[in-house]
Amino acid sequence: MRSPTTALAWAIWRRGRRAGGWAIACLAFCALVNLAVPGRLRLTETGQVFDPVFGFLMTVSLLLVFGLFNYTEFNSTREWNGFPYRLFSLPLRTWQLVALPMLLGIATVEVVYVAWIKLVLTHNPVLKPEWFAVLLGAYMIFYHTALWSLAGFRIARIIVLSLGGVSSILVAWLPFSDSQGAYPWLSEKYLAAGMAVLAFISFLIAWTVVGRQRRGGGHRRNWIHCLLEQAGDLLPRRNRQFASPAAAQFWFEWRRAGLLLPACVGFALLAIFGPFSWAFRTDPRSTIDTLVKIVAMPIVLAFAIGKGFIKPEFWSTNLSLPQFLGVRPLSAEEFVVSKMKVAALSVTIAWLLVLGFIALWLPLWADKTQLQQFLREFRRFYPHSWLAITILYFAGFAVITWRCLVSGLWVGLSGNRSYYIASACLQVLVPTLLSLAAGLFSDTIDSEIQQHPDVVNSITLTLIGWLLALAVILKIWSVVFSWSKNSVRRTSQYLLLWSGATLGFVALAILSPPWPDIYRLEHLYVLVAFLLFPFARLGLAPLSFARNRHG
Amino acid sequence: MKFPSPSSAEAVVAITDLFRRFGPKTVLNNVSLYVPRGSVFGLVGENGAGKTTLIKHILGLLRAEAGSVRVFGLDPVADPVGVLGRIGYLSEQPDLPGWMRVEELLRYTQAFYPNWDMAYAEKLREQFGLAPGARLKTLSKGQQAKAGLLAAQAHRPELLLLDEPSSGLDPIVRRDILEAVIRTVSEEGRTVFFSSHLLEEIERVSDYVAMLHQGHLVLCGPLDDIKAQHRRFMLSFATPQSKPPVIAGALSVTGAGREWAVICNGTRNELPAIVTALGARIIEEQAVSLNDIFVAQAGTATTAETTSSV
Repeated sequence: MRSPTTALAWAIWRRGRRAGGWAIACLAFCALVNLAVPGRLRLTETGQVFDPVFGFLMTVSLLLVFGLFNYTEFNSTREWNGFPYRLFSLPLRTWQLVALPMLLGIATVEVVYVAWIKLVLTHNPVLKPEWFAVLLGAYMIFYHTALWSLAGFRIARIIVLSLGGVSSILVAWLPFSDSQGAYPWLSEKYLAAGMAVLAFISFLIAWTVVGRQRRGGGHRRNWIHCLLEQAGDLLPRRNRQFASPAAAQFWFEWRRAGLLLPACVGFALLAIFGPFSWAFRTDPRSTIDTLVKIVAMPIVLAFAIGKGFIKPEFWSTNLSLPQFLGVRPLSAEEFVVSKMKVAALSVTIAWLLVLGFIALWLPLWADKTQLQQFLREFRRFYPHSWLAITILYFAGFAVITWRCLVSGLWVGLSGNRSYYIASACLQVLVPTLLSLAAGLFSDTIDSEIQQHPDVVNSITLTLIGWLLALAVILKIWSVVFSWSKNSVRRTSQYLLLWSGATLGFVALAILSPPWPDIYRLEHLYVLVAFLLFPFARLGLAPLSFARNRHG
Repeated sequence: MKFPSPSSAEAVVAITDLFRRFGPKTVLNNVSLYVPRGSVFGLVGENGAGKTTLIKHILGLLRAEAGSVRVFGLDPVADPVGVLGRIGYLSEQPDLPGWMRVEELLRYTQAFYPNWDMAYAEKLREQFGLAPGARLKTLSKGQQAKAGLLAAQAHRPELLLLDEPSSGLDPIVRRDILEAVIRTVSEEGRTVFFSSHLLEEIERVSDYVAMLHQGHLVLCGPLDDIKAQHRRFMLSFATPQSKPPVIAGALSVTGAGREWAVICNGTRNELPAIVTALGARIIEEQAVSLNDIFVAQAGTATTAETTSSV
């Protein structure tokens, strides 16, 4: 290699070549489809399915490019995940080290973006393409700045990057919001100039931060960490011996990730739902809406946190079992059980926080007009069982939250990165594609239902019934296979747990069918109840752990 | 290659025809060795020889692709709890969780070992100068090694397994670790298995030595016997030699002109006749250090592989 630029560019590509390969594959696939599909077909209703699919894959492709330029390295001894420390010894100035990945990232994302516009989005061109080009370039710089300047602030960085992703959608929409031209500063020209200025400031911040890290600063624990650790030092510490190896392992897992879900739930309640509910305390419509979101929030958070929880080491990108844990004289079963128990305690605390917030919010400052009306109707439909249904629903939500944390243990503990990524992708892709399909064909479906309501309903419900029944049979079969290698004691214990939880779901299905149940769907709800509590996959988790442990 | 060894019945660790490959690279090639009870067994080899891979098989962290590994007569993969409960392990890389404090590390580790000796652990902690409230990530590399050794020893394991324990450490810490090893064996008759590429350390404390070179076991046996079998002979030729003389049974031949040094293994009785036939005479016989034996054996093994591949 003849220059530092080439060498560093090669290193970036080499490390992220898979992400880059997938991004190119998405582009190539869509370009071929666009080439193959005749233009007149694209103008029909069927042809309109291509645009959202292309849009979705374009988003995936651009996200993969951003992933390719995740220019950080993790140092486990310093718990440091930031600018690659080993590069500081190179004979390059700091601004060069900082600018090179940023410029390469900008060039790559712009090339990919232009390729999408020229090769794929030819029948439905993007409006204001130059604006999106500026936005992509600016966000590439913001992305790098967040990655490097928040090194060591793991959770804060996740939050900032998430908020950054969401804000990019809002910012992208800004030039389209003022179609009348009432606000000149919302024009594309001014917004682009503003983004360019912000991007330059961001580059200066990144340059300063990385320069400081290079001179030895930033490696020391910053003042927030020091403060937190000093506060931790003041808190009473456990000094009792552990009653058993399982208790010790439970403590270990709790210390690593047990408080994360309750902390995120608590933060969301205090920082988001608290102020939001106060701001809209006089709006009766927002009470039910907020209540639904509060109840959904732990499940959504658990879905995200679960991706880390299922790994052997939550905070590491390495899926291999750390040797420190691998040499503990503890069976694979006990390791898995300790994770499941930590997840249960974590979910319990999180839901106690949610219930505590609801218990304070509803009586003290919520407008309960519409909620009370809903509750009256609810008690009218279920006069004898409304309390049991309410309790069972909240218990069910807690169980589903726990499921989101642990159901992927058999994948995460296996140490196989391909399984892990494929599992995560499927969990995102399948619902997204189903939603897309439902949205695209909603008109067709509605018209079919209106023309032949009885036929459609009977066929659909019969099909759903058979699919659910097959799923239950498959689950039972999988359980027999997956739990055959586990000890009788643990199998019996978990069977008891599964039975109790499933009984609760079945009770909910029987007690709370929709009223009136014209199509008599109670049997479908009961079948769904058998599928909600994880069984088969958890039986595989000790096997996966053992495979990871023994190479 | 097979070497004489104690019977497997007396062995704490019995490895038979162990084979392991990572992708196209063969890391361990039909390795067999037995670690006698109550001994210090040193495993030497250059970087990448397969030492850590062998130790991971003993711990059950790798499954044998061929051959067998038995520790205390048990398969460490099939019965990890039964085996690991009797082993104390110190790894080459300090992989202790940085967020833990010293006292938390001891309390956590203690829970797994019923034989944990609190008084002994406290004595070691004071001896190593480890503050109980100190976080492991704030400790130096040497202090982390001591913390790891403390956790490995405090439950008085039947087998102490050390993977390059003094790698990257200063001489004082290395001395502390070696003294702990010696004490383990001399006071309590337990078994120590440690790997190192610092041959002076192996030579100081080991009863048995095994030498790995590119996945092959080139040497294995009691250290005294190995050193007794290997001798260096200083030769003087009548006429200067332009290239190293070919001497049957020699592991290495070094020198220039008339003066050459030959390291032999077990051929000292035949050597005088061979040397005389070449027009030389033996002017001195010396003992050989383990370092020289290793270099000579490794060089021979490499030459043999090159010849066989040709």
